[in-house]
Amino acid sequence: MLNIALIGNPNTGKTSLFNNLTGTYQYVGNWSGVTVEKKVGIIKNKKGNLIDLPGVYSLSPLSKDEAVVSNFFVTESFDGIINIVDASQIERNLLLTLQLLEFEKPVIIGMNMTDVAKRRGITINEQKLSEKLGVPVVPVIARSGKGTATINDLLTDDLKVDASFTLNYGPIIEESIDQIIDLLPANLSIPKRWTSIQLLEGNAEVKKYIESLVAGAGIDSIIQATNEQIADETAATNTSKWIYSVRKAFIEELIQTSVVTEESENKSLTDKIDKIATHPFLGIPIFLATMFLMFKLTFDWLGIPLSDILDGFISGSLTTWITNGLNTVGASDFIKAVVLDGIVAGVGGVLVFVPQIFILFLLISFLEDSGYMARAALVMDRTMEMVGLNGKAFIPMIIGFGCNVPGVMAARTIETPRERMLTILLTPLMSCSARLPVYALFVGAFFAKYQALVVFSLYVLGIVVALTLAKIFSSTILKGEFSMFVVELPPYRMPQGKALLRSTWDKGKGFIKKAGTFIFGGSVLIWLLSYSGPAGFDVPMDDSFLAMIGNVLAPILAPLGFGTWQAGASLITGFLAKEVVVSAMNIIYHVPNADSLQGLLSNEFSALSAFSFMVFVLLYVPCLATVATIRKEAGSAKWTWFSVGYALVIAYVLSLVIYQGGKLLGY
Amino acid sequence: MIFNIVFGALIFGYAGWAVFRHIKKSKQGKCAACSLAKNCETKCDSVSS
Amino acid sequence: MLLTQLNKGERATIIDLSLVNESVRRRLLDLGISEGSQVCLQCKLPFKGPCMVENCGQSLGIRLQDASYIKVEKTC
Repeated sequence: MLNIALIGNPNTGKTSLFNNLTGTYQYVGNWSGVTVEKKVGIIKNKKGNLIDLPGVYSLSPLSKDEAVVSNFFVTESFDGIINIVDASQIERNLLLTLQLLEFEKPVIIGMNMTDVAKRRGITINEQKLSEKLGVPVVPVIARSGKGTATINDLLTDDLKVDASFTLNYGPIIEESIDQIIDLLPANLSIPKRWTSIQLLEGNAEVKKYIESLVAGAGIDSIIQATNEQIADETAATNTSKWIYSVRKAFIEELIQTSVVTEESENKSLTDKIDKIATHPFLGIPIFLATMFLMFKLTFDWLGIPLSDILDGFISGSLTTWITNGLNTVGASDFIKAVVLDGIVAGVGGVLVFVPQIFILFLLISFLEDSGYMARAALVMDRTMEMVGLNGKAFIPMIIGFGCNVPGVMAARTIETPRERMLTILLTPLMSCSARLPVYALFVGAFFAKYQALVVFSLYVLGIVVALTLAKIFSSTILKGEFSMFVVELPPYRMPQGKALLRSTWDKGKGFIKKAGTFIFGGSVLIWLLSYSGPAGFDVPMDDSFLAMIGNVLAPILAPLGFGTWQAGASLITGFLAKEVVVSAMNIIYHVPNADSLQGLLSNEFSALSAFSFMVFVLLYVPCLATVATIRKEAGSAKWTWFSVGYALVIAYVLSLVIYQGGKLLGY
Repeated sequence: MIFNIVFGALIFGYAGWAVFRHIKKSKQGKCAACSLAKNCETKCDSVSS
Repeated sequence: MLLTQLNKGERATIIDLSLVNESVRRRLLDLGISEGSQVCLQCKLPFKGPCMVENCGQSLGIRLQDASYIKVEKTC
């Protein structure tokens, strides 16, 4: 089995190529840092595994997602590299290519985005480039999969090893390289020349690895001496700059022989859209308007009509069929109760909201694919800077609207540890799709005319609370001066219909899968708790175990406007997955469909307490999966507990203020 | 009668298993509704220092 | 002159990056921007917000503060 690593600059289409080569589907988007984790797939020709890695500009990491790559190079064994190169930015892409060639493993270069390059007047002679570098160069179009067959053919059992590539860095560096090689352990698993160059360049991950193998300051002193010598004897001020300039000179020569550039000064579509999207004053209003439109579409225009149809089907025909079926086979009352009151109510109650969730995912996918994400980061940077974050932190937050787990992981692209920690802690305040069914249920019952507006206000509330807390945390417990923001703005792209549907389906199918597994199971258990009590089975629900559990919380929740055992019990179940709050309510109120549940809820809640409840659900605690991810990403139990604790406190306080304040105002 | 027992056992068995598996997976930080498919090898320990 | 002193749409050559913060400079180098690179100031966001700079067809956003440490020379 071959292990092939896929490496390239951020946003050059690595994951698109990965999907085409393996026939699987992984998350793609149009911004730098979509992939933050190593992913493995089996190549279609069954010759081996393909490993997709986060995009990097060089092998010296600045952020955590880049560290994944450096770490991969030093600690894992692999047989070859596919280096994907963005033809329209060939110069800086080749800087990475040179470092890969020095690793003495077979390399195949996939030349992507030649169409974009051509439009910009850049034509690349792949053959010449291939001769100069001594490796195959294959033109590909990663999005459509053109050229992948050629790469597939090249991935054979005996990958051609042409490890002859060496770049001469001049007498000073070459001497230091030789000196370092002598000090490296003889059985080092990674190429010694590459290791030495990386050490001289100041690659922190490689340094950490080597220090774990050999003790002693010998290498350090060579690096230092080289640095001084470079500063004294050359125009460069330090070693890494010198190395950079040697590589750059080599690339320039390479480009002169194998790339033809013509001047083309036509304004692209991107420039035109950018004029509006990052307009000095309209930028933020446009972002908010885009979001509001999303909710209009999700609720008023498309989502509600569709979910009404679904609701009619589930509570009507489907229930009738199931009842008839159970009667024919002679099921007992107990079985009928668990199926109809438990499973159909619980799972059906959540499935009803599938249309809304899919529309939301479709819109998020559109934003991701179009190239708007990086612009949103740019537009938000000034605001984020004021609260002690940077614009890049906004991207994990938008991803968090889909699901908080990938949102928290996306924080890896943030360079400074302090800002990354802040982002990890605050992303769970973004209203994820699992909370949507709860809102949909309540706005349908209490705010029928203003559904989109009310849900929009909740999302905005999440953002506002996150920014406020960012300010508080960054001026108290997470203090620090340094903050940086450099973001690559990719050209806009019209998302392709097929890719868009694919990406939407991929996000949404998890929701349906969850309905069939966990929500199913949760519904049955909740039903069982509501059906049984200290007095035995089939007890009145107010005497059930579930009521007992809910009653513990009810007095605490009373000041917030929903001090019933029903609300308490459903909130507890929400910790495992927020959709279950809706399942639990369906089961507890024991009604056949969402319409009648909404009718019943209006007896139990007022519009004000309903809003207070929604705010509480928005903020109260990240779900179990998110908590576990925070634990891993933050690498600290203390911060994990903190994230749960502060969320509970802020949810309680805000709901209290909203409910009591609203009462004072006479609502 | 036999149908009732078998069907009941099936439902509760599956429900218990589904909940158990969900909690186990969640504890690893995997979320069914997110895009990180099964072939994501989360090795976060290696990057969080 | 400084990068921030350019007007919208003006082109310039970068002559000195040494005052820029180390990490920011690393990122700029990663993106192919070093001394001698041709840049064009595409726009500046209000309230001292970040600015958009173009280099070889690649746009990027950097903070005004960082941009004000970049010395440039107008090309035309």
